[in-house]
Amino acid sequence: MILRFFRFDDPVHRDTAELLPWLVNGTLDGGERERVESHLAQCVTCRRELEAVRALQAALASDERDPAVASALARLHARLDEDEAGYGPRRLLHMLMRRWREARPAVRRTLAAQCALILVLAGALGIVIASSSPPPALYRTLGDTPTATSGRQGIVVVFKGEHAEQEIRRLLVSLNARVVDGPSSMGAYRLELRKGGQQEALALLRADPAVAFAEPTPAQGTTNE
Amino acid sequence: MKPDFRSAPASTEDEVALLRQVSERDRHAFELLYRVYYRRLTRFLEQVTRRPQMVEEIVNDTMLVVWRKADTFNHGSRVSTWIFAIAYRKALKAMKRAAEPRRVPWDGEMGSTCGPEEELIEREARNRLRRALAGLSAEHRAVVELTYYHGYAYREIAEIVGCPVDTVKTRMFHARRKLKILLDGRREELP
Repeated sequence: MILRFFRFDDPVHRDTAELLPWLVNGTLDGGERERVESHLAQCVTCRRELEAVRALQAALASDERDPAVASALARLHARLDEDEAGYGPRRLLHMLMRRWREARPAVRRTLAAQCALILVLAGALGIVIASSSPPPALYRTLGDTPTATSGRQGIVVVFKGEHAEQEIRRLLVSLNARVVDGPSSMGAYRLELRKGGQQEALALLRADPAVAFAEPTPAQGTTNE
Repeated sequence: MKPDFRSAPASTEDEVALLRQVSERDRHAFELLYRVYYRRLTRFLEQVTRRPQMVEEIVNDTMLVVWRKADTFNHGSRVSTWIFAIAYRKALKAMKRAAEPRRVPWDGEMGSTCGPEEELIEREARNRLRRALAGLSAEHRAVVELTYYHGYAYREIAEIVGCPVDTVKTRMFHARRKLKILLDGRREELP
């Protein structure tokens, strides 16, 4: 192995000579590489220098040893254990704060925007939940609107005690209604109208001698106090 | 043609993924990263410090910083550049603590003289090169080593050793001139 280096006193070659080590290791960018290579094409001295640089690179790269990683790693693991012992919530908080401080402005802006978006979405979700149907009640009165009858009109009705089942059936058929709940302890039934207006049905029921009481069920969306 | 640098990272993305896991306190990921870097750091630190007996400690000091600060890695640079920069700073500190660097013979440098004649010549040439490198400053050796063995671009070297790119070029320029003089045995010409 012969290593020869030419003298760098000549400024004409200096620019090329300076970059030769990185031409040899392949890390020059396109423009620099072209510039160096075009000078090399016409300069014997620099080509000779290039060979010397290659020889040096080869000599250094061939000088290999195989260090014992396992024992070194074992010694480091002991230090990591000590380090872990001091790792807790406070250090996590410190780490998060440090990451925020060290984040680039673009990253910080993105994080801030994401946090703002999450708050807006959470607010919107709250509004949607608040304006939607109330959760099912644990108990129910006849005035409640059950889920199965959503969209249909209801009437709470109490029949006079002496009227037979036949009379009640007649009324229900004439109103095109059905019993969806009851009787309660007070003898109240809740009716659902399959079709027809609630007010007309109420008028007919109230006029009927078999009916003691008839009132509309509370409007949907209201809660039962 | 790019030479085959045995120390060059296999995949930058793999290393970034490993480092992310390390930042989440994943010991297994850390061990993988350690094994990837141990040989490269050992080699680099031996060249820079010329003190084989302190190399393992500097490698471990370096990797402990990696373990603790993996979450601060700036994705603007390569993982290897970041780790080598930590190692370089640790090396300079260790050398300062240990006062003046002294000359320590390498394994094989004083090796057996038996073997074929060609091998002898080769060994002698290698020993001359090692002696010449030992005559350089730690800063110059770092630039030579990072370029020729580890295959870094001069911009990355500037990042590792923490100086402007022109300084890296100048250091390399002077390192080569000194090497030439040392290899030619003309020590009296050294500045």
